[in-house]
Amino acid sequence: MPASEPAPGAAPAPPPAAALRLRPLRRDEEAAFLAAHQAMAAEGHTFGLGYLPGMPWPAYLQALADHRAGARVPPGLVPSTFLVADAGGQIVGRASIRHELNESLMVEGGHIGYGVLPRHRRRGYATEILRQALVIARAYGADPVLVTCDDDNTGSARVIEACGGELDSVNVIPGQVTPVRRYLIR
Amino acid sequence: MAVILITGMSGTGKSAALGQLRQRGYAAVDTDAGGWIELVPAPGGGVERQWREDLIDDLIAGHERSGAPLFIGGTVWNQRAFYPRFREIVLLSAPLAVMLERIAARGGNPFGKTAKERGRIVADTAAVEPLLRSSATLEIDTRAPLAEVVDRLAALAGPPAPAQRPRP
Repeated sequence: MPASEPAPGAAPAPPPAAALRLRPLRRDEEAAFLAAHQAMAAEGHTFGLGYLPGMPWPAYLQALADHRAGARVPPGLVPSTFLVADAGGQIVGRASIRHELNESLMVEGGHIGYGVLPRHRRRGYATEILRQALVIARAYGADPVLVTCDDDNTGSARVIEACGGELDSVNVIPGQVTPVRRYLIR
Repeated sequence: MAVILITGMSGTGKSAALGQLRQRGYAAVDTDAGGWIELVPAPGGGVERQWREDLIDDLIAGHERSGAPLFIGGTVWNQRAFYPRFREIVLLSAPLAVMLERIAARGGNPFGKTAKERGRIVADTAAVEPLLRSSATLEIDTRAPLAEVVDRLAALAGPPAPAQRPRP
């Protein structure tokens, strides 16, 4: 048996990061979305940005479509593109690409927010998500692209640096213990 | 795997190039025809044409799995969500006067025959084409002979997959 094939009964190898694709949520994947949303919520993070518990699925998809088109954007937010990261047909993470920056995103948040579901981490998916999200941020005119992370989040800092991020500044945010790193990607 | 977007304004020769690519044996989908587009309300009023994303995702994913080259032609506002999945983004362009001349002469697509539609094309070209250009990996001036344009596109994809035989 070739070495690349798993032994009988072994879990199949996870798809490589090169197999990851960013794509819009599909109309038929409410269950997969909810599972991802709950997995991130369990550790205090948000998967489905703007998703409210119990929200009808078509209404959430419509809200995402609206926000991408710049329609009915809630106060304090900006037009954005929400995409899921698909590896081998499974949702493993997400990206939100903001088409412009407001005052708060200039300091914290930046052009791109992304996350990998807990059980899919340490496979290089975050770097691939950011790499692909950069293509879309640039298509909306971001130059340079601003990406931020908490000062103590070394994993995230490594991902941003691997994608060409240059540290611009580290800022203390009023009311927050951990300073925020601002990276610029040209 | 080569999934290639062919984009550009009306009258820049997308449909003609896609037709020739099909004759050379490539999978080449013109999203202007055949149900790939839905109309949605535009934020500023009126309607906007956009890709039906589940269908486009399926189309691209099929070629990502098989590795067979695919050309997708179209210019819609939501194409940017798919940009990371294109190996090349090719902008076809021509001077405005050439575009309008072709639109007036073409038979297949009625858009652009009225003065109002021509005005829209001029305004859209000024607003949209620079955005397309900024993300394009290659721009081809379609005043060149069609066969030459198609040669350059085919070179990006490599040979067509064996299953995609040329049409007789």
